[in-house]
Amino acid sequence: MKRIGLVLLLSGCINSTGNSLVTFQATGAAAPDIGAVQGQPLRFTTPRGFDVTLTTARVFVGALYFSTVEPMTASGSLEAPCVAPGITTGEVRGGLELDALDPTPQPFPVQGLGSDLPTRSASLWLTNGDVNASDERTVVLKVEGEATRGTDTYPFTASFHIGTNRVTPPRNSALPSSNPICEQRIVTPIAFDTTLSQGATVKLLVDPRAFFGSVNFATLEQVSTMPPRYRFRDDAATAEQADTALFNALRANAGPYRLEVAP
Amino acid sequence: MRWLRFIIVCTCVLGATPSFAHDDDDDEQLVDAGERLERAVSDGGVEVAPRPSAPASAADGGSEPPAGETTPDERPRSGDAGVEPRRRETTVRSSRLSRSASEVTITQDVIQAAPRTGAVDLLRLVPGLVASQHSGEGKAHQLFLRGFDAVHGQDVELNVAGLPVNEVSHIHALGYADVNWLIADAVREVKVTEGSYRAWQGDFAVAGTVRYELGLEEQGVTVAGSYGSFGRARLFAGVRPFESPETFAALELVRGDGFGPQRAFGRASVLGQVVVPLEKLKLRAVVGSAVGRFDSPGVVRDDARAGFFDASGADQGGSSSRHQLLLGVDLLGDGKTSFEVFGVLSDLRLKNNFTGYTSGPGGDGLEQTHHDALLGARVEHHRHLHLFGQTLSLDLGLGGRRDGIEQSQRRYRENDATVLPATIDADVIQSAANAWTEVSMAPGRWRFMLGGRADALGFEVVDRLGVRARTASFGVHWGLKAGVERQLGEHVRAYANYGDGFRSPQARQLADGELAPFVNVRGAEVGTSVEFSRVVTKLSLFGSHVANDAFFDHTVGSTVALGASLRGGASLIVTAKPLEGWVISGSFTAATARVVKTGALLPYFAPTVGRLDSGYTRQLGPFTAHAGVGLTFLGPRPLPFGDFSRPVFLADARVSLRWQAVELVFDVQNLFDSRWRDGEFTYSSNWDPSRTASQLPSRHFTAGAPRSLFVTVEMHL
Repeated sequence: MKRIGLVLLLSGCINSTGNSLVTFQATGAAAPDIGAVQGQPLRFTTPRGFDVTLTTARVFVGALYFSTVEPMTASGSLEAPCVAPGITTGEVRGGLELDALDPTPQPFPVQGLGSDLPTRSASLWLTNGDVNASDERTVVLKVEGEATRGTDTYPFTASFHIGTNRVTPPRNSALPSSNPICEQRIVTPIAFDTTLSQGATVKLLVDPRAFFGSVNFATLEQVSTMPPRYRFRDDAATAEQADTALFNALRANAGPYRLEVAP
Repeated sequence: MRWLRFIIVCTCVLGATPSFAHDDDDDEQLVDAGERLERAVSDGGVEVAPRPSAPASAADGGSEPPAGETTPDERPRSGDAGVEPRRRETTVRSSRLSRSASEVTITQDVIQAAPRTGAVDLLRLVPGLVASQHSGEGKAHQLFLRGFDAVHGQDVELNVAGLPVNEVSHIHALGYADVNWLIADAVREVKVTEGSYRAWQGDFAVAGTVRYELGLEEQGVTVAGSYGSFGRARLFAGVRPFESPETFAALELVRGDGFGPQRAFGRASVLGQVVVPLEKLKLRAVVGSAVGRFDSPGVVRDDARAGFFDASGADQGGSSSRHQLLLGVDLLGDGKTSFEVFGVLSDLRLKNNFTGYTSGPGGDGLEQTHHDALLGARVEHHRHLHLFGQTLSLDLGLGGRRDGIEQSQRRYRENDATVLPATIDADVIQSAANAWTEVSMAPGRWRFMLGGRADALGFEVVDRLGVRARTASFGVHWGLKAGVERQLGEHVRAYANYGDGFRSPQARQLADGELAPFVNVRGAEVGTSVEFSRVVTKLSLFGSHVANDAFFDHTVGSTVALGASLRGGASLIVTAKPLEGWVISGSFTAATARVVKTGALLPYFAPTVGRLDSGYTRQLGPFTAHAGVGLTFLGPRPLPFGDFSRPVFLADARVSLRWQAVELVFDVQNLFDSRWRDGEFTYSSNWDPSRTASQLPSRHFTAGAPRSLFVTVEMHL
């Protein structure tokens, strides 16, 4: 009884359920450690040995969501919903076309809303509307540049959208929700261990080099010979290695994206 | 002490005539029980006063032979050696042997004081208890008591005349306790034992136990027809053939359109009880069946609604049925021994969508089914023993139940109601066995009780989807019970109680071979009662500690582990009968519930609950007139993210006039037509699948009923 009484007295100082809602700013930028300079191309070498000069890298981020759920990839269910279980701790619901070659913070057009519950993971939505819409024409990735390996040079462009071109049929008719289109549009879970506070700034840092880590430029579709021009195919049905590798890298939850928070 | 003095002064002012004092000796209690109980009931009203009684049945915490029963001569019993009883015939009226300051019995005059639309309204008479409905008139209510959010019954043990109401391992919520089938007119009294300080309290008796006792108030045949707001219509028929109110049969048909979209409902119940008192034994049988269907408006998102009484999500609602039988016998020999066997078949089909379209364009509609076949038995024995010159009162109990459960859960599409493959489809066999004892002695002005209880639970789960292997688990819970009482002068009695309560786990969450975990609650209470013939006051201070608490938000099906939690509070109960025919029954409970580690409040519990019922019945020439009111106050409830719900104040009124066999009753509920929120919740939802919706938790609510009128014509034949 003494113990109960003591704890009752001690714990009587907080007259609420303890957590509160917060607002925060969100920005996107090229990751500072990649050496990008605004207005200048980014040069790097991929693990496959291509020397890449990237002149354009723009990613459209439709929304950011943060969650209390630890970043685990296996859902264990064939019909798992796109929105992870758990409590959403923050969200930025406004699209930003982010210049991934510009290290200057580029603010999202809307303020972030959230709570001070512990955040453990994040989701990045590559869409400009309903995540479940059967078609969607917004370009979510636009890249331009040139890749060279030995004597081979590949001036390339890519312009990806995620609509009917990315639909994967259900596994079977008994599992009609087994491959929803939203799975293609959501990058999740991105590790993000933080607790949001009022007035904080969440930074989405993008490393465009990671988009090309597995790309074999030799499999690109050549659209012109004079001058030579290559293009990443924007259709899952006709995709070759380079096309699939770039699209998968765009949706990879580790590598291209990193989240940091500044108080 | 200042409070205590204040209460004593108040009760002295109100109650000029002192009543008898408590006995200090159990033997004397035993012998004089009849006379005293008769006198106790001659006061009528809410028996919040503990009355010494005949040998107490441990099953109901000290109930005595039922109202109207004429006991045989009191004879010396072998277990009562050394007692010199008086030989006489005595009529024993029902009374309640309180063993804590928060044990109360709500009797007919309080029940009849104000409008009651169903058995759940009788639950609202329980001091500090809040019953909230968020899914239509047919689903179990959400209960709050003593700082606990009991969801649909996980922390409040409900029992109807020996028939358990809580359902174990229920697909929708632990301890699911639906009392919609219970005919309110067939409830003779409601026995409330808050806390878990008595050894007979079992699974789910965390915040307390509520037991309905059955009976019809008036002898003969009663037929009543009612009609009122929102198309609500009711037909009641009951017959009570004998003087004893316990033997009866009753029928209820009720339907309504509801006060907004998706609120229609209908149900039918039959319920009967037969009590046959013989010389040395009493036979009892309870039988009942009920079936119902209901629509549900769901839970409305505050920032997305058009009107206060909106519904969200189509095709919500469900159906339920319940069939039950209890057979019991009381043997009066060496003490009293009771045998009861019972069986309950219950079914529920429930369709809910509380979150809209968070999982995709098909929506989050969830269909749950639960079928439970329950068989159980209990044996209880009470006697007196003499040891080392002291008289001991001994209560023993053994019991067991087996629940054979089939349960399933699957999604359905919001737009076309297509049902998707099941995500849960399981057979559960849950078996429980328990043994308990209470030993008490009363030297001088003291009374000491020590008891214990052991519960063994076995679980077997077969996943019919074949995803999980067959699992079996087992666990035992041990609980200590203790109480000390002290008579302080003629009118004041002080109590101190301790008890371990528990809640059984959901079978499907257990791994094979896992030692079944119980949620163990350690509770304590100190209190006092001040009793006079016209007023009784009870004050209690309570606290409880849960070692591994979890907050289960059943609207979204998520569970958050909280660690240790602590609850505490105070409850004041006052019952007065200032004039002949006038009863006032009021209670006020303040509670807090906190996470020990952070000191933060737990969400949703009810910190302040006030209830006042008053009824006045008077003879006006050939007419019997009655006027009554019921007032409810619910203080703001804490919600997640530091928010609070809105306070609620409701007033109900009843006026009736009876001439000979005909009675006309006018009931008004929510007299001032308050726009009140029966339930408020904070969680994430998305009701517009075409937009990138916010996933942040948002305020949702269920609208409470607006002003409702109800007219009843009763014939008493």
